[in-house]
Amino acid sequence: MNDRVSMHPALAAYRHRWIVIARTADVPAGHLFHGRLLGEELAVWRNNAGHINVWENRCPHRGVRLTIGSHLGDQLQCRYHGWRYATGSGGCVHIPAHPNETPPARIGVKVFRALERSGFIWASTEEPSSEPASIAHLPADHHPLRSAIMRAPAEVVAAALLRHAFAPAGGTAQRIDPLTVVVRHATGQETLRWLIQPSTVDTSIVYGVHAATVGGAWLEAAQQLNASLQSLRSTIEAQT
Amino acid sequence: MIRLYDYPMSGNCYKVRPLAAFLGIELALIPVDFYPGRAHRDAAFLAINPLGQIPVLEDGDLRLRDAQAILVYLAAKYDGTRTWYPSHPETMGKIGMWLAFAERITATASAARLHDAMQYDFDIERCRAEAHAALQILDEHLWFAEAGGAAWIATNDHPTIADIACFPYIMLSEEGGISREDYPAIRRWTDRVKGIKGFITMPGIFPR
Amino acid sequence: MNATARDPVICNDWHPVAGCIDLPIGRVHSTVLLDTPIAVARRDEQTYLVWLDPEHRCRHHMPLDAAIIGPTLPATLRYGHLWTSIDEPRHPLFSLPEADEAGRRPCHPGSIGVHTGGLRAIENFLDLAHFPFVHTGILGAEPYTEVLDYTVTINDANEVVATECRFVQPQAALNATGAAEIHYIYRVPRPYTAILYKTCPLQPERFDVIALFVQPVTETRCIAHQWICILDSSSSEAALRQFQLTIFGQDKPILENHREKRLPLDPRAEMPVRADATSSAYRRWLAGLGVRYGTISASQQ
Ligand SMILES: N[C@@H](CCC(=O)N[C@@H](CS)C(=O)NCC(=O)O)C(=O)O
Ligand code: FES
Ligand SMILES: [Fe+2]
Repeated sequence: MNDRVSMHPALAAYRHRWIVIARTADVPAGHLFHGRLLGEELAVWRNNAGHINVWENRCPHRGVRLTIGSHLGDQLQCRYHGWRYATGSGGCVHIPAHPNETPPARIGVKVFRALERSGFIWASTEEPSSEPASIAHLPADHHPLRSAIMRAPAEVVAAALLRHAFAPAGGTAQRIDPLTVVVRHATGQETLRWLIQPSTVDTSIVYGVHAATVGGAWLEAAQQLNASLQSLRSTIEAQT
Repeated sequence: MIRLYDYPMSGNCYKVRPLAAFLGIELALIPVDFYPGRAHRDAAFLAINPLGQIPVLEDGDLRLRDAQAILVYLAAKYDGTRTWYPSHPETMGKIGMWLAFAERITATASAARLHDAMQYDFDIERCRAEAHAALQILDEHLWFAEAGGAAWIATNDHPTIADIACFPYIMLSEEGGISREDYPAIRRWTDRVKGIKGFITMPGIFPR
Repeated sequence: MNATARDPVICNDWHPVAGCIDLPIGRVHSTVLLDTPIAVARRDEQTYLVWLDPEHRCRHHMPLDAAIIGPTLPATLRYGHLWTSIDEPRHPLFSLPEADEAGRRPCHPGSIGVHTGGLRAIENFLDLAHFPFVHTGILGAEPYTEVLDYTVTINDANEVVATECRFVQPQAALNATGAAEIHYIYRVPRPYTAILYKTCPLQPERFDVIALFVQPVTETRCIAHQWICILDSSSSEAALRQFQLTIFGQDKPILENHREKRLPLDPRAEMPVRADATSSAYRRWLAGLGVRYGTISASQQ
């Protein structure tokens, strides 16, 4: 029942990867974040201890989005009939219409693998082969940039980012894996990294990481990079 | 008692109700049968507001139309702490700017909802496209506000009437076929608005 | 229109296309039924017209003019609404005897367009369990969440009927003065029509009648026409309307947040429990009638 939506072949290529789906700051305590993983809609939330849940955004009862529900700390409650689902397993723990009965064990939300590292949340639809280089080698001291949503396939966005580069004079841009572009200074030091989320077959989200700059200059740099990224977005969208 | 000409499904009328609740003001609600009755176009109502629009507020001899004007008045008059509409020139300027932006949301997202839900004859594609453009502007503003440590539209650490004015038609946007999926900073901010102590809802907007 | 071409059950049925109050004499009401653009107008006190408007030439509220009238469709005025069919109706319109009962007050709260399939709207109308969570403080409140067992049958007229439904409600109707256990009977005469009978707060031995007539616009959009025929004679028309619209306005964001806007008929597609007996019977009944418009059949699942 869980595989109702068959994945588009262009997205299936990413099935065994960890895909970035949000920044850590996109999912503050108590928030139900509406996200995507390779076309599938997600409900992303943390329990009281801060553990991240990446769930299919669909209540198994009548198929209503869980992101319109309420965050109860260690449970998520569906808005429609108040069914409650437990952090971690996604299992249904309470059905208010039958308050004195234990919900059948087979009722649960579909849960995806999740990982939170280096200021980002990653998820995978299938057993990932390994932690991607893009997680392992993130610069230790960095600032996330404002992400940009682009109506174009990940492949097109990656190619455009590589071309456009945003590299400092004498610097280089390199695509270190299908969904990651790294920008380096002439000295070889990393200045920027772009992580691409194929959110649907024709929509991608670009997350940027900026190597720390001294003092308050970061916010200014983030504003400039946001403007550049938004103008790249218009260019790409005009072409597709 | 202060009187509000009201329609429960109107986002503009709704703006007045939570502020009144936050300030502890009791309102006498006078129902105007906006849809399907079109009572806001009756001669009797046009005598109250020649623009034929709700809400209208009456406090003693004072009669005010326009939700934003009503928010300004109630906050300036009844908020002893002056946090909802601070008397600080720069903040007042910013609030004025975002109150005007709230009108833009009404003209686009609310129009899309009137088209889809109440059979109004508008150019729906245009309403939606312009609403998305407005949401994009607000999302960017809120992202950088957050990055700089500010939680609210016009201020850092407490909400103002700018937050109240922008909130309703953003929360109702899906009724006009306008998804908020692409605006994560807006979605975090709407959660914060719902978290304000004493927050009240309207039909179409769930509590937190 | 492909989906309708494949569904004779729905094409040959009566559907509401406007409430009377939305039809001033001499003005065109432009709408869509089953993916088909149509126009509706009231020519004089007695005459109502419905015609096909494939090029969408009729703008909403434009003056009626003989030149714009296209091929006409059947038109019947009943229960405060104008009904039509895009093909040959196979049945007379369903019966609702309470509509003609003395002492009742008909009221049309308004027609609301919804971004969901019409069958989802009907199923929601038949649902008790959501009251405490969606209509909090009005039609339900925690801790009174339990749905006691009730009975669902198919009557002689081949309608789904649920009886012995009970629920504790803080404010069952506009004229209710406090919480009470309210009794309900539901009737589904046609796939896109549902009627409920609930205890009248002032005359507990009689029932208020609330009907939901759904106009399927496309498979994923509909217009919900409410019609009530109740025993409350003191509340103002505007107040009655606003009470009903408030309730419906609370359901709307739920309806618009179904991941599948069409109704799945495969019993394994979603997870019904005992409280959902009416919903399960409704889906089985739709499958038995062969309804396809607005559904996801087992094979599409
Ligand atoms: N600027 C006014 C606009 C109010 C407005 O658009 N009200 C709507 C109902 S929510 C209305 O009365 N519309 C009727 C019309 O504009 O003709 C405000 O913010 O109060
Ligand atoms: S749809 Fe979620 S509890 Fe019923
Ligand atoms: Fe409901």
